[in-house]
Amino acid sequence: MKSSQTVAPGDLFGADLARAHDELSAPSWLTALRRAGEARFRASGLPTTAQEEWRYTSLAAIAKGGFRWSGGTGAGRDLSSVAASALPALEAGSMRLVFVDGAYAADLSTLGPESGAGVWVGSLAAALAESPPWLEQHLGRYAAPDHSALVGLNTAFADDGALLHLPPGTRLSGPLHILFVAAGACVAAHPRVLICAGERSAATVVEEYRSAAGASTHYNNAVVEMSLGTAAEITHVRLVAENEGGCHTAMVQVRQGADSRYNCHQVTTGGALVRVDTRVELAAPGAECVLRGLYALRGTMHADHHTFVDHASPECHSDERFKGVVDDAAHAVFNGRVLVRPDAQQTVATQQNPNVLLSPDACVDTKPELEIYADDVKCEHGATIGQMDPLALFYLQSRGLDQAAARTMLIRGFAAEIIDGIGVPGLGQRLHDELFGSAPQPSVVAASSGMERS
Amino acid sequence: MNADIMLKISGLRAGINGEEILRGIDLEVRAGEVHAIMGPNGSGKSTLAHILSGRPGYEVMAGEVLFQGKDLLALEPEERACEGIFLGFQYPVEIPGVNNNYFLKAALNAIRKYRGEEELDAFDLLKIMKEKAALVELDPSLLNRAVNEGFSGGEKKRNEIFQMAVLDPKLAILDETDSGLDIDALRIVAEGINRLRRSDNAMILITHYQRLLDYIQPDYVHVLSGGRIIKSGDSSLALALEEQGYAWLDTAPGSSAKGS
Repeated sequence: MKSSQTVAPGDLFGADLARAHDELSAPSWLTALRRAGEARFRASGLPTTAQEEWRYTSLAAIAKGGFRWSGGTGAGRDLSSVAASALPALEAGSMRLVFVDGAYAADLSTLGPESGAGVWVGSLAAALAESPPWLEQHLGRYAAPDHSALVGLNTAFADDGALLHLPPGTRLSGPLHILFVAAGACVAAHPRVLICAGERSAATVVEEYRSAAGASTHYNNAVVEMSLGTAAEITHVRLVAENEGGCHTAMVQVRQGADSRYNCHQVTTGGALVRVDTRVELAAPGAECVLRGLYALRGTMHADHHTFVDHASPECHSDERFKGVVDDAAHAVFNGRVLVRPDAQQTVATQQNPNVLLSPDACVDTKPELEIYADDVKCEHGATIGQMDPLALFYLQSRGLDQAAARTMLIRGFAAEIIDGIGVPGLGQRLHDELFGSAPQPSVVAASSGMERS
Repeated sequence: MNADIMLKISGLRAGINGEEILRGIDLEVRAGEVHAIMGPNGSGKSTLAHILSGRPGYEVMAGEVLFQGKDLLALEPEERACEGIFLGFQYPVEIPGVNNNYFLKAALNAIRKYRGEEELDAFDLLKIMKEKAALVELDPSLLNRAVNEGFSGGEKKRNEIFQMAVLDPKLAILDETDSGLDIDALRIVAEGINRLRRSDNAMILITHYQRLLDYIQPDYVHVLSGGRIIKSGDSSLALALEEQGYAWLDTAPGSSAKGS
């Protein structure tokens, strides 16, 4: 029987960090980034509930989980259990980058013709081999290694991930699907996404987290960095559907240029422990961001969504709406911070967080934080926590629907605003079916999944 | 038991929060009949509608209700709907995010399934929806909107009658369907109801005012006051109420409420 490792708090992931020194080769600038990230993580370790930002979310499950890094992208992985045909897909012909336990899986991926036309779509590992000049300029710049302990930890292992580089005026003809699949046992992966959108460029990116049917507990610690040039437009869909043993922490850091538009749709439906930080810096006049979110939690799931919209420039708009459906003994946390800096006149900022509790044991902690230092602004916020409307339930039942069907229909209606607003063809229907349909969730693994892993 | 009787209410006492509102109701409704139940505010009209349709929160203290020989009060609201009861709400509920069409298809198929009938496919359903929307002069674009959300008062009531047309109940209980309607909307709703009137179904119209009865001729009119039916008659009773109000009845002795 394997003895569970006891790790001193100061040395969490210590063996893996040491391994990364030996195993990860790279240009010197990246090595320097990794070391800075490692130093940041080692300085404080995982955040604790003693920190205000983490008050409602304990990472003890991660500290005690015994998660081990599965090695760099060259380490090789057994992908036999992950069947390409069973992976969730967007429309036929869509570009798809698939990562298994953090490493790019070329055989499972499909690249479009765009990769030739000045647009760079592909894996970080492949890009490092060619080392285009923009890579060093952007990687680790928006989410810097010393940004936070978790970003530091991710950066210390930075080796692979998804890249999208759009030169000025280019646009992707269809959505890019970035799929991170957890397949191993007790694996810690540190997915990284970098999107550099040049002036007037545009793209839609669907970033999705799934667990293979044979996967046990695992930990994804993701970092997404994004830079939008003048008048660029990025639609970013982020789907977190880890299995019931999956832990997921993520930092989404976006910097927006003048007149750019960032549309973000986050849907969190699975994972034992999920924490997503989304930080959008409206760095130049006329930038606009739309944040939409849905968390649908059941069982004993815990999901914490922290957002921070930084109005650092005048005449910017932010429009945020996160909705929650919380059932059983699940726990949801929402914290929405909006900062309007002194120069950010004529800011328009709205934030809404409606929640529905479906069970007496379900719990929501919601907290809006508005800090406004400019005087010519229009800001509003609201958070509500309610139960299912008994009159609406009766109305549906009086037309012949049984209570279970009526409940599902009402929850579906509540969630529809966010799901239907995603706008990626076929994706809304898939999410509806997964959340509310009788069809089982698509499994990403073939029936005979014999995982072998050292 | 007379097989002709569709609904038989006997000695029904019921209320809410421990307060008795209905104090002994007796009523019989047969197929092909339209009954109007009138009465002043607070007389128990809406309570009766809610009790018959099974709204949670109401308590039955005594009496029984048989619908086609079955104990109606023992059934869940959806079972009552599946058995053929329809309640037209005084205040139709807005259901954000739920498509009207989708909702009604699900309801119709739930009812058909309960009755052991085959569920309808999308093509047949669409045909029914279009046909019934025309029957009650409902703007078809409303079918693809969220249920009642942002509908005008008239559109909401018309949507109730449209739902009734699609679900084709044996007994429709229409609770103050005329309230909040202007004269044109009232005429359209009333004409829709008249078109749905058949020899094998029945309706109970609950109304405060006589004006709905200018368009729909009831077979029987009952006056509900203080939780009891204090007078029953034919449609001329409604006219008398319109002229004289309810006050003259307060001292009148309760009369038989048998609708035969």
